[in-house]
Amino acid sequence: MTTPGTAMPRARGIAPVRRPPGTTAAESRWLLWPPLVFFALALGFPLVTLVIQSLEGGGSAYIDALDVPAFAGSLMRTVVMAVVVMVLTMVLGTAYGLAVVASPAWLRFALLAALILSLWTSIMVRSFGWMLLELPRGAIYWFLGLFGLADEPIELYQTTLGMYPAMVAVMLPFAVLPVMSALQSLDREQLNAATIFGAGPLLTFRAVTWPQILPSVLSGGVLVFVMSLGFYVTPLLLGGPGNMTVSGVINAQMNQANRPDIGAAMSILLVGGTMIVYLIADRLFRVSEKWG
Amino acid sequence: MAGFIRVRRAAMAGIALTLVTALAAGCAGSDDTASAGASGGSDLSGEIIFADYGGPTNESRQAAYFDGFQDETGVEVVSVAIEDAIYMGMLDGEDGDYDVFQSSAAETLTHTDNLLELPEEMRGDLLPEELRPYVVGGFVFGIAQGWLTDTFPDGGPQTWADFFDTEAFPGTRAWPGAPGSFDASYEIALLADGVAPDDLYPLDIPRAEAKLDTIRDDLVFYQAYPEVQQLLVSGSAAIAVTVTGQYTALMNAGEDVTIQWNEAFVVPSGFAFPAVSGNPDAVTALAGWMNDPERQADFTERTLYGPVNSEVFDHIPEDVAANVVNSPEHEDQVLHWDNQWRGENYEDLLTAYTAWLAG
Repeated sequence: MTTPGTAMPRARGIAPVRRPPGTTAAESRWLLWPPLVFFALALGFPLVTLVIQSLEGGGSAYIDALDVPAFAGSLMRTVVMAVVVMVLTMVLGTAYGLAVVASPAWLRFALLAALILSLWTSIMVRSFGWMLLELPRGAIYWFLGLFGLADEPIELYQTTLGMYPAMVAVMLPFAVLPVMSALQSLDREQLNAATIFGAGPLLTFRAVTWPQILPSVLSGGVLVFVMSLGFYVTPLLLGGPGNMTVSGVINAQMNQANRPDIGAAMSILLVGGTMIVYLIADRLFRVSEKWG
Repeated sequence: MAGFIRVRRAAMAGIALTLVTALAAGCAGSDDTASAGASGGSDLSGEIIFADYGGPTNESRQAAYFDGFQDETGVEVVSVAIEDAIYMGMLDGEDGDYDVFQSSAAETLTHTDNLLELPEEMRGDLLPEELRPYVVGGFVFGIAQGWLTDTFPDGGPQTWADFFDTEAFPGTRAWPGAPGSFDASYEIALLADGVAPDDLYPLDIPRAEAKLDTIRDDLVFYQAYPEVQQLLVSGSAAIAVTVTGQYTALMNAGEDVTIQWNEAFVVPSGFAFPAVSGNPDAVTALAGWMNDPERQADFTERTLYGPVNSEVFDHIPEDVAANVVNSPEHEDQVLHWDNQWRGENYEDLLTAYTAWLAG
C-alpha cells in the first residue's frame, strides 16, 4: 500500500544498490530518470525561478523583506504553530491509526471513511465549517445549549485555542495513513510470541509494536510539519489576524503591494529557515536515520 | 489562472481568426453593396478582453452594457477573471492580455503615464476631477457601518466616534482582517479620535493605530466581504464596517438592515484603459456606451453601486437612490478620501496595517 506518508522516505531508497532481481545495473540507472526528471521539473524549476525573482533587485529584496514589520514575527509564529500542530497530530494520528487497526470491520470502515472524506473536502470549505461551529452563537453553542451548558455565547472563534482543532483535523490523514500502513505490515506472530512469553499488552506495545511504527510516526510528523508551514486561511479565519502566518504576509506582498520580489525573498527565507530547523532537529533526534 | 487566461485568449483569437478568414472567403464572391451593408454604421471589429472580479456585478454589466453593445457594434466583450500579476504589470506599462481592466482609483492615479485618456464627453462628472480622463465604466461604492435594525431599537451609532463607544453601543464589531486590506480603517479611527474630515491627510498612522487598539478586543475580523453577512445574521457581530454591497445583499435576502450614511466613504472605482490595449477604438466606444445615463441607471438599479454620471439620478426611483452612496440626498453626509495620497503611500499603509493586524 502506498500512502502519502511512506512515499517520501522511500524516495531516498531509490539508489540502484538494492535493485529488483533480474534487472541489470544499466536498467536500474534508467529507472532513476523518471523521478529525477519529475523532481527537477516539479521542485527544482519553481525553486530556481523563485530565487531568480527574489534577486531581481540585486538582493535588496531580502533586506526589504526583513524590513517588512510583520514578517519576522509571523515567521517565528508560523514555525511554532507548525511544531505544535505536528506534535498534536503525531499523538492523535498514532492513536487514530491504532484505533483503525484494532477496530471491528464496521468501525474501521467508518473511521477510514471519515479520514478520506475530509481529505477530499477543500480546506476552505472545512475552515468555514469550523467557523460555523465556533461562532459565539454557532453550532457548538447550540449543542451545549441542548444540555443547558451554555449560558452565554462561547468565546472560541478567533482565539488561538479555536484554530488548533481545525488545523489538526486538516493534517490528521497525513499522520494516520503512514502509521496504519506500518501497523498492517506488522508480523502478527511477533505479537503472539510476546504474549506467549508472558508480556502484557503494555509491554507488548512498548517492546514490539512501538519500535516498528516509530519510523512512520516520525515521517508522518515531518510531513505534517512541512505542510503546516503553508497554513494560510485556517489560522487567519479561526485564530484571528493575531495568528497571521508568513503566508499571509507573503500574500500581501505578492497580491496587494505588487512586490513579487519581496514575496519570493520571504518564501526563500521560509524554506531556508525550515531547512536549518530540520537539520538541527535531525542532529538532535536523528530523525532521518529512523525513516524506513 | 494566468496561463488559463492566455490559453483562453489564444483560443478566442484562434476562433476570431477562423471567423475572419471564413468571412473574407464568403465576401470574396459577393458584390460591393453586400459588403457595405455588412459593415453597417460601425467600423469597429474584433473583441474586447474585459477583466473584472466576476460574480453578480459582472452579470449586471453583461445585461446593462455588454449585450446591447455587441448588438449595436458587433464587438464581443469577453469577460475574464482579473489576475493581480497581469493587471499590475500592465499598469507598469508591460504587455498583457487585457484590453481594459478593473483598477482602484489609487492605482489608476499613480499610473496615468501608461494609460490612455478618454474623450471629454465620455468622462463621468461624479468622479474626482483628476480621475475623470482615465476611468472607463466607472462606478462608486460605499464603505459604511451597518447593523440589523433590531440590534439597536433606540437608534444605532451616528458617527465613527459612536462606533468606538462600546458602552453606548455594546457588541462585537466586524472589521476587515485580510492581510493588507486596510480599506478605510485609518480614516475611521482618526475621525473617531476627533480629527476633522478636512485634516485627515496625511494620515497619522500611529495615532490611528492607538485608537484602533482601544477596541481591538471588541473586533471580529473578516477575510472576505461576504463573511460580514454571516457574522451579522448569526449575531456574532452587532455592527459591521464594510462595503455597502454586503448590506444590499442582506436586504435582498429579506433582512432589515440599517446603513449609516453619515460619515460613510464614497469610493470611486472603474476600469483602466492601458496604452497597450489591443483594441483601443472598440474600448473607446465601450467607454462612451457605459457612460450613457440610461444604461448606467440600469446598472445602478441592478447593483446599487453609485453612478459616475450625475444624469443617472433623473432615471432611477427614489427608493433606489436612498440606498446609493453618492445620491444627492447623501451629499452632505458622506466623505471622500484622498485617492492621490492613498495611492502614493499605498505600500506604507499596507505594511503598517498588516503589522497592526498581526499584532
